[in-house]
Amino acid sequence: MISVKNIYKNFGKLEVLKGVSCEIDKGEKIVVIGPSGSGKSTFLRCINLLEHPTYGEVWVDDDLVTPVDPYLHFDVIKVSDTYKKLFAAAKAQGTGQSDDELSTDIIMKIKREDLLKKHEGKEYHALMKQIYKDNALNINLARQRIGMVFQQFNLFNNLSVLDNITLGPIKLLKKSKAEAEEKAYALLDRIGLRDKANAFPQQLSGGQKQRIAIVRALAMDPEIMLFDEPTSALDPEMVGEVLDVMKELAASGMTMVVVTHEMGFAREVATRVLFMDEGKILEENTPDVFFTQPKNDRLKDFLSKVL
Amino acid sequence: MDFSGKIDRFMVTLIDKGAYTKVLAGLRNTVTIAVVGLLIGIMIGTLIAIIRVVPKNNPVVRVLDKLATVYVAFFRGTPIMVQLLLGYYILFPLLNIKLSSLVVCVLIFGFNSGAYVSEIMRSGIQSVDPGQMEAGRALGFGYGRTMMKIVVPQAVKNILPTLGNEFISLIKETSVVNFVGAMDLYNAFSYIGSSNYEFMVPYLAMALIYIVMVLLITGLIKLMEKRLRASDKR
Repeated sequence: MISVKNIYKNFGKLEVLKGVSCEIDKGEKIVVIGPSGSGKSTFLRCINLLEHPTYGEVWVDDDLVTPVDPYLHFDVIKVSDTYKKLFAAAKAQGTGQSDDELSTDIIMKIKREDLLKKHEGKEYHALMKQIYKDNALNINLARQRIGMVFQQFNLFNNLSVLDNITLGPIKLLKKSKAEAEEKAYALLDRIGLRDKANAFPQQLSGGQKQRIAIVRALAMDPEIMLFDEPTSALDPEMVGEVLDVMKELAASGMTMVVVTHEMGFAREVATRVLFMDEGKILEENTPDVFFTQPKNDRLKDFLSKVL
Repeated sequence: MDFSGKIDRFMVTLIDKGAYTKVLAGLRNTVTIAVVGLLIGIMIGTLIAIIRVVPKNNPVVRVLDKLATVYVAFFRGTPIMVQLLLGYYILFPLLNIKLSSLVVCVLIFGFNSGAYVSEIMRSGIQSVDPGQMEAGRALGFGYGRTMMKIVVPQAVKNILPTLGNEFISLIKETSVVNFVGAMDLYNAFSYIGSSNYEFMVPYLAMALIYIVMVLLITGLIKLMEKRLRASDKR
């Protein structure tokens, strides 16, 4: 349902993600763990484009939400001026390879050495445009299908709890106020906070804020929920109430990607655990294998510290 | 020192000889320049603030942003008196536009205040937690809608009180408009002073009028801040 294809993210000279790929299927609960600075939050934020990947593509179902990355499309590379020049030169040299072999070698060389330039000829740009036109989805529409929960909750401070929850459904999904409020109350009942409907975010505890932030995202009927360290900013006694809501959500079949340090949650809920370090996914597995038989040395080291 | 005698002579000139009309005219000009100037300033300031806070991913915006930077640097970097003189004696005559000195003052004060107001608005918007924008975007709202529905309403609470301070500055700065021949409180009171050969009481009176105006506005701002803070808690 979401595919992340070979994304790189640079902040200036700092490379935060170095080629991350991930297929997320419907109903999966993926937990991403790793030391701080490993790029796991950036990876999550690239899924709904709060960060724009420097290279690579993100697809939501059959819709492309990032620009086209030419390096991911061989047919695009093949019509570039750079490829044509290299191919002609190699042909003239006569290496004895078949055209197909030669072609593959040159594509690999172009990818490896990042040889594509801004201007690669008409045909190249036309094809890039075509691929984009055929697949691109406005990011605002894609985000309506991707719920996100932040470490710092980010409830709208100028709106009441009820308005926080109904703003999206009313303005974006064009629901009637009555319908949106009915749904909001139903969701608030689910987390036991109906009595806070008219409160403002400043009047709530961290745990309450985070549960309401989850509900705000759910009110949009998302197909997938992203959680960016949802319990890291909470007082210890409030972590449980938020995790309970997330566990219930997982049990209801929601597709989830959770960046967290809560290993217990990962073991209990995850269908797949990813370990990230230095901008790469170093290991991924089902939780039972992941926690009992880690293969990667850095993962072993990490687990020995956190478990 | 015959203080009460001085006050008597001042009152005679002010009321019996009709100098109060000059004072009222000066007062009217001061308020006109400050109020209309602030309104123009808010219009220009809003425009510039928008240019300065939106993402710079478009060459037109980048050029506008540079222009706005130069504009703000000029109006914040030169005294308003210099701006008035440049406007009145150079800019408008060069453009062949004939304007009364009062209109020139209103315009120049508006341009000047636009630079300050844009900075007030920019910092007001930028002081809103970026997480608010991210949360709006993550729900699926576009940049503009998130701005209008979420960020600006919160920024207004930072901006309004500071705008009040800007208004106070404008009121006080109007005391330089006589450099281009517009009637203001200084003109009125120095007229009284020179007709009596006594400047102490008129200038004290002038100071009194300024401070009363400023205190009144300060009171209004405090009231407004209280209201805004009350709406925070609810």
